[in-house]
Amino acid sequence: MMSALIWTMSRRHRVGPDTEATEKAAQQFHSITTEVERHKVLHTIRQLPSPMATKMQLKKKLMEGPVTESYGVKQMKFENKKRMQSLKNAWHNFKYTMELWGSSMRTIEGHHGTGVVSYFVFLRYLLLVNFCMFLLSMFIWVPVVIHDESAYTSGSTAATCTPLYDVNVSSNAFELIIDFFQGSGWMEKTMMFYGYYSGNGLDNTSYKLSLAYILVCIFCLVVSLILMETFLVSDFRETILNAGNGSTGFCNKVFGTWDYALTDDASASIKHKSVRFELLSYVNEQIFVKEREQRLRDGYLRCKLYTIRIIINIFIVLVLVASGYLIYYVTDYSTGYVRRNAGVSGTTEVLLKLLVQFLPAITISALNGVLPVIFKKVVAGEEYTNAFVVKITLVRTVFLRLASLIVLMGTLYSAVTCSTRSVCRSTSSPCSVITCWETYVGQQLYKLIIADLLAVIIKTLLVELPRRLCYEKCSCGIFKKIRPPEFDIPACVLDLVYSQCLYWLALTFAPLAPTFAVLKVVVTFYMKKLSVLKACPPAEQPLRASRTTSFFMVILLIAFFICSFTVGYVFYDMEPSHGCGPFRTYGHMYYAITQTVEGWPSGAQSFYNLIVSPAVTGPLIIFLILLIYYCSVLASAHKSVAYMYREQLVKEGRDKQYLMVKVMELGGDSTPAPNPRRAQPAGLKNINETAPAPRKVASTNQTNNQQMSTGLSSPHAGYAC
Amino acid sequence: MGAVQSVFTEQELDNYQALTYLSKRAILNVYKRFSSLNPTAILHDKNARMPFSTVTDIQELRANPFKDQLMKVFSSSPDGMTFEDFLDMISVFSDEAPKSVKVEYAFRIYDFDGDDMISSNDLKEVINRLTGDDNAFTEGEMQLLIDNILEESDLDVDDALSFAEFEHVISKAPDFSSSFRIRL
Repeated sequence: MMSALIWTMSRRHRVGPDTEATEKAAQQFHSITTEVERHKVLHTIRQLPSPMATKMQLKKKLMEGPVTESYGVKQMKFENKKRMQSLKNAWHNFKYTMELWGSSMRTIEGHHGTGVVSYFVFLRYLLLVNFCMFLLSMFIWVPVVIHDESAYTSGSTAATCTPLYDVNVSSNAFELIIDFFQGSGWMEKTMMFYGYYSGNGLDNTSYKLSLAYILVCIFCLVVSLILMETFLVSDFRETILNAGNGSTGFCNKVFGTWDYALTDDASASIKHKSVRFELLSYVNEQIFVKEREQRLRDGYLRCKLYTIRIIINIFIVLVLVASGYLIYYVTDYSTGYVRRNAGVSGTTEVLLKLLVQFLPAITISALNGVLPVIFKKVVAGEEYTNAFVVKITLVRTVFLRLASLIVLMGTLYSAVTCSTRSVCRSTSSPCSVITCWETYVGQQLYKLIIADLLAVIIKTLLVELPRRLCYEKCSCGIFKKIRPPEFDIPACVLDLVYSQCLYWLALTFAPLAPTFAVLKVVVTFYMKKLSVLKACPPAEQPLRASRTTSFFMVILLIAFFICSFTVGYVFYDMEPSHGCGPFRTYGHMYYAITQTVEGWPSGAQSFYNLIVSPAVTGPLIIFLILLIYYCSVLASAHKSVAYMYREQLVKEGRDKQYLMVKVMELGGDSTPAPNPRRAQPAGLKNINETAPAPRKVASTNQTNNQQMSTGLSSPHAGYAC
Repeated sequence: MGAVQSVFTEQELDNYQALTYLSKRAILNVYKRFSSLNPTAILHDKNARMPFSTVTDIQELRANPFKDQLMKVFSSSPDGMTFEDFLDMISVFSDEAPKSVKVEYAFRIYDFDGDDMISSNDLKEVINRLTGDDNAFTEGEMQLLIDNILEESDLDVDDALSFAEFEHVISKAPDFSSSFRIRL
């Protein structure tokens, strides 16, 4: 029915309201009586490539006939679907009016195109994640604020074993400012850090702060994961659908390259230039690839190239290891320096101490800035194609970022486990005692977060804007060499991923971190908007939005799993401090949950114990692995079906050619010589010249339900009636 | 917004929402933009025809090298474009429109001579429009590009792209859906 409808609406003309084809289509509506079918046909009408007037007429004719009620399951499903549709419409309406930063995004899109906008979409999405985390974290600090508690002093019960955890608060104004940046002194006593939440004030209520704390952390991670999945799935689907077998590079570059959203004349002219450059460079790349293949036939040259590649990869691994060691060394030095100079006063010494404390953050930022440049220079020797160069540089930069994070965590871990925090009496040990190690870790993360926030502001205001001003105003001598700043999307996205990791880790140790996260995302948006609109001109070689968004999401997911593993480890295996915090009475943090479970009725208790035991989780993991295997088998089957259809299309083309030749022969014309350029299309060398009789092709695209037949009447027909 | 909303009845808005891929608010926004081209004429007659030159003057279409084709493809008559044609266009270029609809219209836009096939001449015109007037390719480069394109997509080797071939090759093009978008 639907295929016939589309069939009659010929593609050649925009069919007007009164033409024959419309009448024919309208006649077929008489057979439609149920609401369900009507709804389906209405959907098809919407998809028609016809003017609005035609569609309205068709709809009117469709709705004219009598409706028979259908009962039962089908009707119920249809009612549900209608309700869902109206809900979806209302949601779309709401999203359209309430779109955050919508006009800014449109301006940016008009200037730079969809590639850059995808970064801002990612940023807006991270704002949503952080905002949800902020709402959840309110469950921790709001009750504590309401039931204002006494300062944490030693408890009276034997279970709370509290060596003295006292913080010196200085009254010097200068030191107060320094303390804000370091997270020590008066800052350490605030709600920012774990140590504040001893839960004393809530002892009389039934609100168990320890349980709330651990549940909030877990739920934040779960909510982040769910939001990431929803974002990733929609993008991923497009990526899978677009991943073709067979190269379509040229068609993609010609038909998919003009960004219809560009509105600015200047950007449009830049885009024209970049299109020309891209098309030419793509042609050159094809030539380069062919040449390289020719060259590599020679065994000696091939060996040489592979040795070069291996050497370069080893070099890069060494560089990564060296940078990891550098971070470890700097963190160690910084903590040692702080410990040695714990009691200094005097402005310069205190400032120096502050600087040394920020040294790890500065090292990480410096490495993140310098090493990618080295990677770019080095990759030239490996002779890869342009697309692969972009990919592999990206992968290496990602390794660098994740490695620095992991090394930092490792260093903190060793600093924390080295101390003796589990005993009441501080014994002598090779490393000094850290009373309340959670606050200590929170402080280090807090410093990193502050450094991150400042880096964004400084980079935009003090580096990019002046550079652009310099480029525009000064044209003398050395200033001629300065090029305007580029908006480097991969680097910016990796920055975002890195800072998001920090916030996920910091939530456990500094419950107010999500507030900082929300603030940072908003500040980043406005800084980057300033940078993109005022400082950076549109790129000559724009990054393709389509392929990179899902890649970045995958990076975010990997980073998320590393963070959640760390948080899980902290809850499961690390002993909380006995001098501070809501878990000071427990041997491990997760005992908060087990204690609560012990308070449940015995039926629920045994059910819970069964669920978390290996008897259930083991088979569940095996089942999930089998499911993954099944899905991958399904995917490869679909791929081969798609390939089969492509071959079928090609065969139909050969059929048509053969038949045309026959017709020409029968008509007495001389056989047209096959076009010499097109004599041997790639991949068709083994198709038999004597094609079988023409046959109808099943539609390759099920959704359109179009029928194609090899036409004999007109040599031009894509398909003929 | 209240004044604009009273132009359409609820029934009409429902109709438009059922037949396009836009929400009601978006449809009203489209009407607002369209009527700002010539407020008096639109107030007089909702379905007044705007000449092409006025419509292509809006900010979103000004810099587009295919704007005349857009006008030709979406208008129901060569005299000009009505509001409903314009609504059609925005609906096809919206985010929610499925790829099949976009591919249909993309084929018509790139088929300059209107013969239902994208021939080498059409391809030449497309590439010239893409590079702009000052950056045109030489004859040899152009021929090389066209050869490469036809080699990738022309499965029945007839020197032109039929709709089926175009659709087949565009469905594999990852950049198409993200670039074929206009947001008002």
